Amino acid sequence: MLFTDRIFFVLLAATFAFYYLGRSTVWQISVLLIASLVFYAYSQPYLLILLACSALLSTVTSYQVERAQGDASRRAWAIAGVMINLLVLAFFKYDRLFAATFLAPHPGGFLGSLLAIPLPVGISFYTFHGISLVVDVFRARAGGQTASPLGRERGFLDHSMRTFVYLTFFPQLVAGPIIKAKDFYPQMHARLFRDIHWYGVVKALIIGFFLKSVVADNLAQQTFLLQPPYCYSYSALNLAVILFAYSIQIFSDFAGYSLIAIGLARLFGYALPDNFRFPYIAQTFSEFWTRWHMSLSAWLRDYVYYPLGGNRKGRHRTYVNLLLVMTLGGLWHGAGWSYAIWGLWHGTALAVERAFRATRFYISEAFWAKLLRWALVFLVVTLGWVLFKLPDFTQVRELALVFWQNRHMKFAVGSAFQIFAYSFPVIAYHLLYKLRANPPGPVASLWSMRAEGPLLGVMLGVIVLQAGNPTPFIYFQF
Amino acid sequence: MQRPLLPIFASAALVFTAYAALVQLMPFTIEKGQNQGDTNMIRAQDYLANPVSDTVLVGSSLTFRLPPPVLGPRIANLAMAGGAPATGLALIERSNARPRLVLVEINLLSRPADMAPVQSLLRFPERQLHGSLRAFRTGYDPVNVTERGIQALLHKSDEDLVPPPDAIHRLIANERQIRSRQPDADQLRDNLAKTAALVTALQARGIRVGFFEMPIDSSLTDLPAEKILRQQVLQRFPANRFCWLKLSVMGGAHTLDGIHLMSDDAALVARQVVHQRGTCLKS
Repeated sequence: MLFTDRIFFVLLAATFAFYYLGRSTVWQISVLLIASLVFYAYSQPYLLILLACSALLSTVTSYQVERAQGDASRRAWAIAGVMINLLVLAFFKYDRLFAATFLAPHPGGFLGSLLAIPLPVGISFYTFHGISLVVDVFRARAGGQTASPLGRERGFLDHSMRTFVYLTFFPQLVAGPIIKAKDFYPQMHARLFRDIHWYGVVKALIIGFFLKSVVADNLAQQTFLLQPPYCYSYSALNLAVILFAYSIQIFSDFAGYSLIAIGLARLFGYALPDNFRFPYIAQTFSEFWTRWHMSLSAWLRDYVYYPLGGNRKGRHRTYVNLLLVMTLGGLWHGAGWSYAIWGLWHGTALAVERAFRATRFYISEAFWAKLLRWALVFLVVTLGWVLFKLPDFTQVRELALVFWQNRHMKFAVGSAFQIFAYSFPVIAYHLLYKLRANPPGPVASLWSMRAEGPLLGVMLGVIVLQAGNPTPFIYFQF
Repeated sequence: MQRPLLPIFASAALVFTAYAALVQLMPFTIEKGQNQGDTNMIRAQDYLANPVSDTVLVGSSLTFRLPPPVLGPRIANLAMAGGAPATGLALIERSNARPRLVLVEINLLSRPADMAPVQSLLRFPERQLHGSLRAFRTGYDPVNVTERGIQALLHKSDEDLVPPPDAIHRLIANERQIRSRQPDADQLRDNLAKTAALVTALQARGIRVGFFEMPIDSSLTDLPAEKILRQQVLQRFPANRFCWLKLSVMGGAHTLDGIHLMSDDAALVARQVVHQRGTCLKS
């Protein structure tokens, strides 16, 4: 089910009505749980079995970690919880990659039927939530905290209900933002209708739907042209513009989804973490990763990079850690070597940047230096998206060839005009933020709180008039 | 304290009303979208809102390229770029349109109908909104209206994006590879049976149905996939029971990629359709 499907709005309305009918925590989390399971089961009901099994295992292991008396037993349950989630992820997400790399291309028999199971939607997110749950409880207990990060619970059944809601909460079930257990569980208490922050809900939903329906869905009609054989008909300059458009599209698609998720969660009184903070103004790669998919970056930092030693074990070990974490982060996005290479691409950029961070290029505050740093980051990031758009290496090679062969072809103005028109709001969104830090007169007044309401209204009007054909969210495939 | 929502909804209503009034009063109509999918929708919505053409072409992107100005007002081109002939047939069958003649492209009859656009065109309230307000119709969105307006002011039109010769050779080689394979016999039989059911339903409403094959690159015409398809379609819809147009380009078709005609050849074939459709109407 997509957030743009009609049926989703029916489910949302019913969930909202039932949720605020009752005033007890048990009633409200039961309503959320049922709605989340319906949401997940709507397209592929049989995948609900896997989700339920995975959630049950996370429930049992986290419950045991919470209640274990000895360190050894607590550690054993925590390791079991993490391993189970990793195995579920490995088995259902990376099976095809493993088979394609190490076995026959199309194995038959039992193995063939196992490989025919489709990738369970949202598996990357709910397994990461499961790991976060077990690790957060373990760290709190091992650190000697008396207060549980899960709040006050009443036995296994209560813990199960809460854990199932945490893992299946429908606004963020299939594509995040990834929220840590210690930030989610304390929010599970009864809510009142009058406490809804309507302005915040409406603002997040309007900006989210605008980015998704107006920008990303319309740009999707252009960016498919990067794929061979469509790219054969376009000049190298047009293809460069389309690649730029993909950079805007992937941001709008995912940031739009995240904002819709944040708005929907707010409707039920839950605060999800921000996932994007104007990433394309970044002047360094490390800054980019504090602005892009922030919840994943934070997850990888807290649960992988720091445990590996982070930057505390010397320069060379830091580089290795960066490469390793980013490659794993790449593989998390998709079960293909191109995603691993995309991660390695970013890991290398981070490592190189770290090696040269004391040079004049990185410490200069001159305008040209900032501009060059920004251009370098944007160019490298945009080139990296090719591996997202074309996960097949032969297609990447083909596109590179077409760039060369079509360098003298006529520039198609129409395509570029559309790309500019749909990209403009995203460019303006980033520029306004940049200028807001040091606002010159007219821009400050445009972005003032008084202007915000009418501006959101214009965006709502444009959503009605200019929404593109709905396309699945790019991150749903991960 | 809650911030007011009224400014948001009031300005949204204002923006929508002002724009809807503007496009409703605009002295020209929009015939092209920002992409082929949008143009499919524009043509279909135009036809459903005002089904005056007595002949309708249904097909794929091959027929989509036949230019409406050459076909004239009596022939509507409902071929779906990126789609299948069966989609257009299903659209006519499910709507209450009653053309005198429906001409079906056979080149991609092996593709099943895509019911998503048919449903979105015919369901409530979309169909009623498309018919009543231009602002709700495909193509009348701000970006497309601006682009078409600029084109009209500059007297420019969209031109074919012709790939370089070596790219065309690669595309043709790719098509040759695809068409050298045997088609999936079960799928072909199934799709032809569904097409036959749609044809029978149209005939039952007094609509004549004819067929045609779009010219493609001469090196592709006799490959196994093409031959088998042609043979099976002729068995299902024999020339003694159905009208067949004979479309060709003297000296061989000039294509962008082996199957899509270049503009000049597309116009030539469109003229042949105009001339030959009379025989189907009489037969």
